[in-house]
Amino acid sequence: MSELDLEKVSAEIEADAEKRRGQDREIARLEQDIEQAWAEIAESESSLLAIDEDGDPLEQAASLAAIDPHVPIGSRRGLRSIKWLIRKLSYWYARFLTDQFNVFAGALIRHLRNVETRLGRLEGAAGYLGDSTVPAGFGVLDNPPEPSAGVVSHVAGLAGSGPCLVLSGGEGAIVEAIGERGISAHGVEQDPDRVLAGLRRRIDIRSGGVLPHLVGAEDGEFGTIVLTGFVENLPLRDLIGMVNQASLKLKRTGRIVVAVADPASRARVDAELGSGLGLSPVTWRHLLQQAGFDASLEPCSDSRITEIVVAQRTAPPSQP
Amino acid sequence: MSPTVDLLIPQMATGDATSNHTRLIQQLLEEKGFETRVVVERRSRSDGSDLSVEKWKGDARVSILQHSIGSEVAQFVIRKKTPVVLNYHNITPASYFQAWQPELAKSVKRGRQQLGQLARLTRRGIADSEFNAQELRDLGIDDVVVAPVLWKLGSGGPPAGQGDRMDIDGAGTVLFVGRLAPNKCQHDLIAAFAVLSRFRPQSRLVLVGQASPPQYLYSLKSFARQLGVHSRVVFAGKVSDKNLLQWYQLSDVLACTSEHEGFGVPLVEAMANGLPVVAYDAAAVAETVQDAGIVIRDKRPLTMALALHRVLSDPQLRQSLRGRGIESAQRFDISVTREQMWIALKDLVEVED
Repeated sequence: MSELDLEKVSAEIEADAEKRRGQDREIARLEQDIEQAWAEIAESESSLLAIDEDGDPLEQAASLAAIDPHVPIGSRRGLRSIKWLIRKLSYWYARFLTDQFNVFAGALIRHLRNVETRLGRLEGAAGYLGDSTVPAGFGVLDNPPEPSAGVVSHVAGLAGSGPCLVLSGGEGAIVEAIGERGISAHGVEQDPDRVLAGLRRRIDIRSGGVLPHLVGAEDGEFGTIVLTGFVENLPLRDLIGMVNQASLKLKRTGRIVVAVADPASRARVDAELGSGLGLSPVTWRHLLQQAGFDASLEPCSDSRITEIVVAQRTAPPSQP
Repeated sequence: MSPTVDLLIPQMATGDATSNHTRLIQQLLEEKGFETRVVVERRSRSDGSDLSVEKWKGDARVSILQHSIGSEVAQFVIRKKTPVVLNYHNITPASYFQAWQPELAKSVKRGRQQLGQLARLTRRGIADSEFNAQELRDLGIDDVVVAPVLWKLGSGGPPAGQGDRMDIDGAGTVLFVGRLAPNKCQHDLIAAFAVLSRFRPQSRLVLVGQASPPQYLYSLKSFARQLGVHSRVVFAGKVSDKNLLQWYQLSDVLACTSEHEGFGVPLVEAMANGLPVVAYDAAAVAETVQDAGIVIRDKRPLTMALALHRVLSDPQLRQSLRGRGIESAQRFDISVTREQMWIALKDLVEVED
């Protein structure tokens, strides 16, 4: 094998690609579509940055200015007084302009915030969860620690049927435990270090945001959805959207298991920083019951996660 | 009293390849008994041993300038007309950054202009690769030596011939290591990965490295989302040395679609860790990989995807690439490259005034 001619291998690959392009129109079109997609994305991003190649705007403005700030006007007493006066007037004029600009910017920002709020309400009403891979709440609180062995085994025992989706998957302990029970499972995690740790243990942990992943899944795809980990740090709007989406993505006899710590048990700093993020197990039960699940609380022998919510579908999935 | 050797560099920064390279040259020369001093544009070391370029007199026996971007340090050399040893790491063409990061584009343009002026002051050129050396010769520098960048090669991979890496789930993990930047063309890699996903739906792509500029990263994420592969693309960001080693060990193939590489440190690191390499033939890539990886001349998505698929599907090919890579990476072991650097500098630093 050490005699393998790699140049020949490269040539074979290139020839194979050319042959497939000639035989398979779909592949050729796919390449064109990909190229077009990138061209559009790159143009929209980079055009935001485009400036004149001849210099930055300040340099251009300086060269076009009617007054040369560096004119040598001497330092005689009379001139000094005029210079002082010009400086003072310039200062007050610049301040006046700045105030005007600030007022304008403030009004504009208020207006934009109003628009954002209205759009948010519209999106919420339509069940749209946004497409950001970094959800609100990310970075405000630390990512919750990996689940204890007690939580892992309890949750794995509650996984009904497969396939099972674990959001967020962390380093994959829950996915692994469910897999050991013969149920197909994968997790989604947004922290690359945890994804790396999971992959090192050969666990199917995928990279990405929990909400976009759920939105992108097929309706009725999962037998069990486990909500845990980073779900503790999501705001109410996202959590309500998550319940709606999870409901859609579950099979008719599917089950949702929620393993989260009660926000009321947070230390003071976390409680203040994370105000409005996460829900207690009791509220999760309420939300799931509202969504048509038969939900109950099970005590769990863990210092952080003291109760686990198990919700079994009893009614057909509701539309968001 | 001036030291024998001044080492000029725009800035010393932790985790920066050129900074580490400069420190290793300093260490080498001091071990050989020469007095050295690092001259920087902006001082950053708390011990204050580095000299600010404003105070630099240019009277050391040898001044070695690290050049890869426009800098004030290079401007001082030009203004003082000081003869230097030009350690050239190549300068990325400004066209790659013009649309994304105009400030950086200006800086690299300035670097190119300075390179032309420095050519007249260069006593000897030291280039990381033959590709870089040729650029110096084209500028009229006759005395050019190739000596690779100095760095301590991290390796924890299996020895040649032992074990196979396809052990996560058999899906195939494609790795890229390096800055996420327009000249590195990670968008081409994502495009190839989207096609690869048709052959191997469970495969994943891991991009390790800091984004520069951030807008490029946002675009890459949008692109991955638009192609429907976002859940299988890991943007790992800047990682620790330990995690980097783990990614090398965990992955199944390193892919490089970069259009401008003056050398290609990650290619060598991958080879040293027994990771097969599939790379686009641009700049110094083929020279660095030599016959230890698959180098292709066409990086359209299908071609690149088929190359990756071939490596992921053919255990014998992977085994061969692994063995060759580990062997080939020995060329860049610090003991070898230090010796090359010493040979490049010896006659200059040993000559008495």
